[in-house]
Amino acid sequence: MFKNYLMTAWKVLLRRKVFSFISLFGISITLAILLILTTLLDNYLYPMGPEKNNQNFLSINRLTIISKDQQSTWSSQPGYQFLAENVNRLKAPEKISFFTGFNDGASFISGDKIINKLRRTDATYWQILDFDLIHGRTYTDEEFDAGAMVAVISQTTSKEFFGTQNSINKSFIVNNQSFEVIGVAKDVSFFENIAYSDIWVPYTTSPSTSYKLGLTSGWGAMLYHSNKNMLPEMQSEYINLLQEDFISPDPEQYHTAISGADTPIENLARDIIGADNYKADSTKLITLFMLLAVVFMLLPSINLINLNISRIMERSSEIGVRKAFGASSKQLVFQFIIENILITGIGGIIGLLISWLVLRQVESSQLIPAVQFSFSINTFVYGFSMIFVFALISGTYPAYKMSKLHPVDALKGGA
Amino acid sequence: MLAHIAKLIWNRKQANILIITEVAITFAVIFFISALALSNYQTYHQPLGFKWQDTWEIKVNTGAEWNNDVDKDQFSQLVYALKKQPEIASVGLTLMPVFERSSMTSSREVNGQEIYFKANYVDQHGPKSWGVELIAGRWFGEQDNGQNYTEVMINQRFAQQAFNDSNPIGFEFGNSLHPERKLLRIVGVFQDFRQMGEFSKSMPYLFYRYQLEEGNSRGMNNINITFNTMKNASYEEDLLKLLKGITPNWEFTIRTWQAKRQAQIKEVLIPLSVMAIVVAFLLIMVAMGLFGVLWQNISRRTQEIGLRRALGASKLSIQLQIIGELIVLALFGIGIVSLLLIQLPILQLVDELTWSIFWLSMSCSMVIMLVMVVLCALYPSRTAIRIPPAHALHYE
Repeated sequence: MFKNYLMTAWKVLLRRKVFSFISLFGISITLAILLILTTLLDNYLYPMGPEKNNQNFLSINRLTIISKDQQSTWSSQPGYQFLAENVNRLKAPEKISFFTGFNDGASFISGDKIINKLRRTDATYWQILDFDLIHGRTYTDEEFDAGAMVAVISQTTSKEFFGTQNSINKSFIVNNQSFEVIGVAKDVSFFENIAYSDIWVPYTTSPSTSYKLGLTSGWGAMLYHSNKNMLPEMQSEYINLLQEDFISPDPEQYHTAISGADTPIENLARDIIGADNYKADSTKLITLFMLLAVVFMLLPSINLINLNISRIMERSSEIGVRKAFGASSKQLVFQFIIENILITGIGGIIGLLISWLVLRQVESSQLIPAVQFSFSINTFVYGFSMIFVFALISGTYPAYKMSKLHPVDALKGGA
Repeated sequence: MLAHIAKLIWNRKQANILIITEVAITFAVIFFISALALSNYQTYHQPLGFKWQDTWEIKVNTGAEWNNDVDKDQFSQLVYALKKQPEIASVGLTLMPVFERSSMTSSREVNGQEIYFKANYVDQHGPKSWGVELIAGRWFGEQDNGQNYTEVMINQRFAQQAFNDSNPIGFEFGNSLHPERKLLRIVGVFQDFRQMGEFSKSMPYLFYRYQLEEGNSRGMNNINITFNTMKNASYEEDLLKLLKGITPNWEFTIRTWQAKRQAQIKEVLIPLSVMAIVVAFLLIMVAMGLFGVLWQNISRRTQEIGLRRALGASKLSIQLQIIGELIVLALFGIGIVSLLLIQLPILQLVDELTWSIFWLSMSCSMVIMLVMVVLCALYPSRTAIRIPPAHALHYE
């Protein structure tokens, strides 16, 4: 029976090629766009690079400080002083790492200026994140404490400075400081915003110690625990610390600190919805995404419903015959939905191909630095559930309408 | 004729409701994208107020919060050293950098009006060398040192909003939260200074003066230099060495205003063009869908058409009927959505959506939509008249 349905569907598809093309075009473009967006999101939430163990750590990268009279508000990335005096007192995390954001680092090679991203970190940073080193090693706690002028650089940066030669133990100058290369890491995607950079050096090599002052200025922190079930406890300990026991250099001016230790999705929610809460509202973000996806699918769905109705009406004599020979409405609806799933499935596969091509193009265009998109099993699951939903939305109403046709009218070919 | 067609459509309302919905949503989508593009285009073409060519920005990173007692003197040393360079034509300072998103916003009661404005600290030489145009009054300068007021300059939009046509020069206003501070006195009006770049709206703007000797609790951030002859990257390296020699514990980033401007334009255009591409695909999809549905509908009305032909209707009038039907159908959809969309400017829900942009993008999307609909109807209407009336009447 099922095989019969598929056969009929296939024949119908081939019979009116223009219509089939129009349907397939709409389905594949819609799904391609949705797939590209979910792949971007998926790559952000489940990275394949150094942050692949992101279920085991939380990041702190927004801080809002409010004065006692509530007249002034500072909202920015946390500063070193804040991290050292507050975050450092947390008991629950097994490891805590501090690092700066990525800043421009200028170098001059034979009269040309080269800008690389430069990040200053501690040594724990390398223990938490899982970098893929091609050559050499990362810096140790001893080197960090001593302020050794050593650097880990990315593959591309290594090529820029030293060509194809081995760059270990060679020196280069960035922002007027000379560093010795001790490790070369695989390029990190821009989507992994804690790990991303071109050059990593110990923050103890900063030109002056003035970085130690300042509650809000370009730093970030990671809280790590080997057991991922401990993350909620770390979050609540951090919030508790800020609410009960916030150490401030000037309690009048810098009175209240609002910040949260976030998982990747909470991080995104904080960026998009707002940073002024202890707990980032990730449910709201997910609802927002869902809503956008539904709104986006509305237009193509109506389009497809329209087309499907026309296609069905064209086949009204076939339906009339089947009805006259005793097919029930249920069977007919089922048949038509199967047909629709088949055509949506074909469109979906084309959509997958298109999105794959587009993402490869984005990768090679370097629009987003060093990005590498991976199609995980997740993407396929998302993709096919979207196809299924799409097929149901666009197939049910026309099928229902068809099943209501009176056999006599249907045989005559009218509606 | 149109009334008759409207009646025909009304009689088939159940079949047509989905087409109307489709047209309505499509129209809304075209409206939003064209309103977005138009408002960006309009802002882009307003005068920027300054010249961005041939200026370099040196961003000074002191590594921590500004400590005025120490940092102001170090900063002055940098400025003096740069001024001594024979290649450098001018040195100007801004706290808020140009062609970046960051800005300083305040609100004050000025001349009985609450004015929201963007502000910036600049020195007295900077704006002149970037081509900011003085419209009334004078530039602030040394003559304002040690006076019992704080000298400020405002842009034309500020003057218009607060003073209408009366003269703003010499007007003084204060901060109601801090009555102990010196009053601000307006000494001059300049044309504009759209610091955040071409895609930012022109807002009331105010210059405070940064004095090298006294510094400022907010600090200073950017040194902008122009040259007698254009320089390249190797000069940049020398410049960095010079600056590092004076304040080794500070970090410097040098970029040209031109590069910053290009990066910013790219930042606006990339999302807009991605959106445009997506919308273009949506349109193609909808057009093909309409085309398909129409084609199908026409072939089912062969008998009706045959009857009209037999009764003497010309080919042209039949073609017009089919195209006209779709246009009326589209107008239904457009009309419904327009009723909803017109609420946006009436209730002023979106600041950027002014009436002029509303009407422009309304007519823009109307034209696009109708052209699309006519194109979709063209081919099916041709097939309809190709069937001879005698055949058409027999058609089952």
